[in-house]
Amino acid sequence: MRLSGALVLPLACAIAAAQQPDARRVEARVSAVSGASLYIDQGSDAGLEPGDRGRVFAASGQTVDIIVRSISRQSARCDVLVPDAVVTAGEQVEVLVPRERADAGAPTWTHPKETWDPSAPLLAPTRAPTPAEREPRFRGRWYTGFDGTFDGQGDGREYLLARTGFDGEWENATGRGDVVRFDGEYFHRSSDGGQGDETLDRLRVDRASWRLGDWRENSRRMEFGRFLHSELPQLGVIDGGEYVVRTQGGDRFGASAGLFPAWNASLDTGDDVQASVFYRHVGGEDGEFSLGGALQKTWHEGREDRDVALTDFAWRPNERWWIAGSAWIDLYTADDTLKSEGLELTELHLNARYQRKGEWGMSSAFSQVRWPFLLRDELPPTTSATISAGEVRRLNVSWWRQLSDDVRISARLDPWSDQDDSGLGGELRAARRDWLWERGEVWASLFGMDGKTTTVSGLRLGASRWTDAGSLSCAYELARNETDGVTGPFESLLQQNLRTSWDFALGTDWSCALRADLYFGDEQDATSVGIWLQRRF
Amino acid sequence: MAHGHRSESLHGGWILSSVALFCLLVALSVACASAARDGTPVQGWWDARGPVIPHEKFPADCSLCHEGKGWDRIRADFVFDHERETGVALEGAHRAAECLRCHNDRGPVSMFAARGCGGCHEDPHRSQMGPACESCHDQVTWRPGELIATHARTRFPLVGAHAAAACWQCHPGAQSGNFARADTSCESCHAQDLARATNPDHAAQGWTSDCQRCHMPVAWDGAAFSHGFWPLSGAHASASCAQCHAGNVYAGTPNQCIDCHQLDYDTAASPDHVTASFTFPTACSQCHTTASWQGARFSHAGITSSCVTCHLPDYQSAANPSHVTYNFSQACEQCHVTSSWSVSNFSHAGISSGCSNCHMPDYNATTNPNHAQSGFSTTCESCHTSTSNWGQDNWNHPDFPIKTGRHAGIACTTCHTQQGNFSFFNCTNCHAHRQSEMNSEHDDVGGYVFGPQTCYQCHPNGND
Repeated sequence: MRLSGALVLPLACAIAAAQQPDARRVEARVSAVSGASLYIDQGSDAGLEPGDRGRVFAASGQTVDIIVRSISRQSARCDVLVPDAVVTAGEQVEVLVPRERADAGAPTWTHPKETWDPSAPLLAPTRAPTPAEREPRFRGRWYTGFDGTFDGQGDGREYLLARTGFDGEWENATGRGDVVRFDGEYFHRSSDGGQGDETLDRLRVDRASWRLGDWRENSRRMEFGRFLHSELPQLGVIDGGEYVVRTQGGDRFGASAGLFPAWNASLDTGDDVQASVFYRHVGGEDGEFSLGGALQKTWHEGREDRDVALTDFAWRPNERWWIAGSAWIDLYTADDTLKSEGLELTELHLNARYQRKGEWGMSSAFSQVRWPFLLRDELPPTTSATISAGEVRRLNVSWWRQLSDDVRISARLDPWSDQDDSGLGGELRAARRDWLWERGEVWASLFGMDGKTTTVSGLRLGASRWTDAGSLSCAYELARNETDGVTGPFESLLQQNLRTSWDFALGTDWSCALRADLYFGDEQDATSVGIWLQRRF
Repeated sequence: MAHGHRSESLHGGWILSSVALFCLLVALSVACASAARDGTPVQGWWDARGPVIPHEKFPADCSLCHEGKGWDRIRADFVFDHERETGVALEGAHRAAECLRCHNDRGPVSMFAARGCGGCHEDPHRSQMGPACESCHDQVTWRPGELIATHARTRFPLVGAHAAAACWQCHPGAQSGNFARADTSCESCHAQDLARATNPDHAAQGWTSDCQRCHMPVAWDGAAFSHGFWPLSGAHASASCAQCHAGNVYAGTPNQCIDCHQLDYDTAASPDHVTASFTFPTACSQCHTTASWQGARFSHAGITSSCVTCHLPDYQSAANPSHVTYNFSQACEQCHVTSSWSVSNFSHAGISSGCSNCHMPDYNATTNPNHAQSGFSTTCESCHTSTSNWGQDNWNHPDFPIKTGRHAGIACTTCHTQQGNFSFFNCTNCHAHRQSEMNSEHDDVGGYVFGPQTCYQCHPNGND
């Protein structure tokens, strides 16, 4: 075997050099193999450049074509061009380098004589520094945005929303691997016209917390302040603290207690208190299965309010399947006058997806929602009748198929039902990429929905393009809206919507987005514009 | 149920100042952006940060990624094809994200990736929007777009005014990520409109649900108001609510015409609906429309007499001709038909004079020739010979023969040379004899005078 290899190698090299008389062979060795890449022990000093081609003469006798992708002075990373080739470290490599480049010779050795330095890396496995050894670091973003909607229909009405916010993390703030986080936003909102003017200015703090622990070498985590439960976000934002322990197998369990801000736009706090315990099991080599559960009890202005059990799961057995779900189960007592005493499944969400990458895929989702009976401010305005008897079930089935490299079709069906009605929606969509222009997409769809009070059918067209100047997109919608149970001029409305947006970067740290919407057609006349500016640091 | 409600403090007058302040912020931001274009590279490495992820499986050649004396910097030309090396393509904002955002010592990335978007991104929706973030978000901006289209997949497609409404108007917690399903009943969002509705007072009437019976999704008030269960057509469209709903009591409002129009019925004088010789029906719509209470369309089917029972006021007020002055018969049907009151069927039998009693307006209105200006006789019958045809072929020229004889067929203006004045005529306009000849020819005629009209004194028939 070795003999045959010794014969084949010079022969192959001779043939290759003969095919390219202006090239010179540069010999190298494979120093490491990683996935589809291998590393060789020659680099720019030997005249190599990205794009140069060569061959590996494997010990098995196989010759494997490679191409240089990136280089350093004394090494290069190459891609293997032969599928399923087996290459191991130490095997011989031949790279063809243009003669004029190879003859230029290696640059003069300029490396100074090495002296011992205690900070110089040793030939030993690297060690992650402890948080105490790292320097503090601050990162985050600042943003501001403006949205204005000018509705000319009827008496006319204007909606303006201006917001600016800050979202930052101060890592290793005290040198113990802790993190201080703050998210806050100030916004101004006004509406003008119609039945009156309204203006609202508000500062909202989404997060202001200090967290310690839960890195590789610390299995315990505690967090204080205002934050969103991270193990089960269903538990919501609290003003308090939580303590979490990670087991050897990756499971986490813990408890939290504190004030429970209302889940409204201002996150008003002080009226509610919550306490919860939770456990999350993580299974599989990569944590591809997770199952979580929690119990939460809340009080509103000193009165017992909600007793709810939460659970969720996610399972990704392989790259094609993904299944997930979550559920809320409320326990009602005789004091909950709008509900029957006992357990009630308040919310259930189930999702499943299967996809063959680049070929086709489908997904389905089912949800069942009832309205909980709460003392606290958490839900949109809801009538007593809806709380006591309201129930919505939704099913979604979606399917897509890649017809070719640039053409994709998709379809979906959305049946729904509630306590006294049912309906069905659907859409059929086709998209083609790089058709009218490169790095762009054009699409069209037909859709329909039999809604609660309105039946809609229509057409959507859209186009988008990604360039160095940003992402530009526009979309058009034509819809026939028929209001159920109504006669007269409003029975059937033909309405249209035109939307365009442009997202682009300003330098390396800034990004900006502009958008405009136009609503027109029967009984509709509104314009909406928006701008979004963000800087990250 | 003590379900919470928003307790926002609203105050006014800040719109313009806030917009101006915001514009200023934007301008400053853009200026800052221009100044910061050459900022820190995305993959910048901090000297003292050190590796926070295991390197055991990395290539032994550190120079592939690092540079610097202590290998504490990432090479300036560092390139890593994430899809090729790991099989996971980075798209959108992930493409430019710092490696350590995902690859750090808080856990293996594969574990977070197995949970989908929620493995790394906190879910402010608290899982109540489901785990499929990509149905609303994308990887480029994360900010959701195409919300109208997305909302069309729900039970409540956004139509009319709802399409232009801001999210927070229905989802009051939208800005903190609370898009919990809104109740589709109108009153759940329009509670404030309901409370404000005082004309009519909805709450007092007990109208606190089923808003869609009257209101449209296009606009809540004004033209969008629907009274479809009892269409407000014609005059009802402009009527005030209280005209039908007396005392602003809406419950039990009757829906028959007579229920509201009883007084109109009782006081109707033309004709008198109550005391007429026959009883008018109370089904008003048989004669009246909603366009106007006046001008009823009465069905005269089967009625051939006694018109004056209803039409006596018409008889009394008729001026052309005045029925009273000329003592017309009250048997209206002798002249009128039921299809149209104005087209009469008057019988002229036995009438040979006094035409102007009725036709004086015709006399005054005639312009060709203008009877009044020309001083025509008001004895119509002296010229007009037929009562069945008042037209051009049925009149006489009693003072001078023009239908027969030598002057037949000539135009009126040949003799009546003054425009509009038919009392004047000029014989010498055609008979242009020399006066000396006429004088010698009439030297034996006593009282002869030469002139344009003196011929007529001796030649009234136009003969020699």
